[in-house]
Amino acid sequence: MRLGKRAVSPLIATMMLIGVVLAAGFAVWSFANSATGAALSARGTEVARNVNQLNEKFIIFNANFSASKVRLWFYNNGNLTTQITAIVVWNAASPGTKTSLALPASTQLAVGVVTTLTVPALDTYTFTAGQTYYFQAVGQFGNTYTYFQQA
Amino acid sequence: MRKRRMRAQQAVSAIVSAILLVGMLLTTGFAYFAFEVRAQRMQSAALDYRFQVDQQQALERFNVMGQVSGTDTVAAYVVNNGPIPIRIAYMIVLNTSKGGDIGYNNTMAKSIYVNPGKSSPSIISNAVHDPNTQYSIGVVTARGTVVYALFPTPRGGIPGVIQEGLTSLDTGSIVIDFFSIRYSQKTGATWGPWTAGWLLPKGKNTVWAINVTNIDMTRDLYVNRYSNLYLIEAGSTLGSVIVFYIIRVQPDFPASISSLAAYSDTDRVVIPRGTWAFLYFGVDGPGDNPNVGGNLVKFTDENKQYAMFLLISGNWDSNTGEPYGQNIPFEGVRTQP
Repeated sequence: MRLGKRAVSPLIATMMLIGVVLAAGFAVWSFANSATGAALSARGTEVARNVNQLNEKFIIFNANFSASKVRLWFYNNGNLTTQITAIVVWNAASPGTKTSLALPASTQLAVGVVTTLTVPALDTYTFTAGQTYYFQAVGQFGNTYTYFQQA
Repeated sequence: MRKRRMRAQQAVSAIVSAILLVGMLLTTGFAYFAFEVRAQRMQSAALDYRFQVDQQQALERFNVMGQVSGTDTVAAYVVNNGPIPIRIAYMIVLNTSKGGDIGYNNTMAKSIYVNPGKSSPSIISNAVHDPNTQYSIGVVTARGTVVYALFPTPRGGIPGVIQEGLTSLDTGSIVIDFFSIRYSQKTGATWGPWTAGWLLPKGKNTVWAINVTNIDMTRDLYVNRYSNLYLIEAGSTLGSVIVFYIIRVQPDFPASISSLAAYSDTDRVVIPRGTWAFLYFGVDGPGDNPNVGGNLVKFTDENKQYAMFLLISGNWDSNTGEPYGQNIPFEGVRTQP
């Protein structure tokens, strides 16, 4: 019988093994949980965007022209408050030339409310009486509405 | 013995691993599953809502009729020709002579509902009426449908095809808006609301309202007190005749009647060229005073059917202008108890 060689007792060995397994398992669980959380967050953002896009709805029903600015009448017939993020205008005579108009300070459209937006004076765009102009408004969640009227 | 103990230690580690794996799957997988189910429900609800709104908006059909209110401002009422109720959200009045500039506008309370086949009450704006101005009146519903109407109807506004067709058929210069016909009946001292329909109770004083248009673009028609609604009972032999002569009603349709007035010999309802007007009928003789109860007309029998004729009598361009007469057979009416 050889004496002098010492080893860890079976009990301690078992406990060490359990500890290693637990630590490794916890690390793997943390990684999986973190990855799932990121996936959930991205998925949640996508779902919220889809739902908001479906609930967003607005129309333009009148335009009041002056030489260098225009006042547009909006009505929010959707299910949530939104904002107009862009207004593009073009002349019916030259539909390929589209100009983005500068937006006023507040473009919020409350649900069930008529809101008028006055586009500030422009340096590069003027309205000519008798000509027909198209206005395309883009909402916060991607919906658009196009309206045309003779100046 | 030692081998058995070693095997047992290996078995413990495997169990712990298995438990850990299952725990990971449950916590992460279940959380994701629950979220995904909720997300699907939200998207499905939003999609259903949008589909329903778009579908209902496509079903909205209504006309806008301009008028002058009792306080001499521009007003309008809405006639719902569609299959679903509508809610009026906004009315705008534009002064078209300014090339689209906003003359006047008004936001009314968002509580006006109009059921299918019904008319709204008069919607009064703050725009003072100028008889020399043509207005464009726009109505916006809660679902986002917009309808504009010119007031008064512009000269030449009646489609040429319709005018040509009617002239070629020799049906005359006055055209009826068939679905505009309404009646109001008196209960006690109160006149009931204007009601559409062709089945009405007997035994009550009755006043009729009919919207007519003068499609002659060159002349104004001055309608006199001899104009009437002539009803003859249907049957195999000549039945009874009931006649409702023209009267004045205040206020104008669609408001309920508050007062009646007789037509004197010089009184006229002027229907300008290319424009519409409401005619009211209710007394049993030309020029009779409708405020004398005995002069108002009622149906005395039930379960009778009548053919209704609109007999127009008047003059062109003045009280004493070229005489004009027209007979328009158009309605079938039945009485009930």
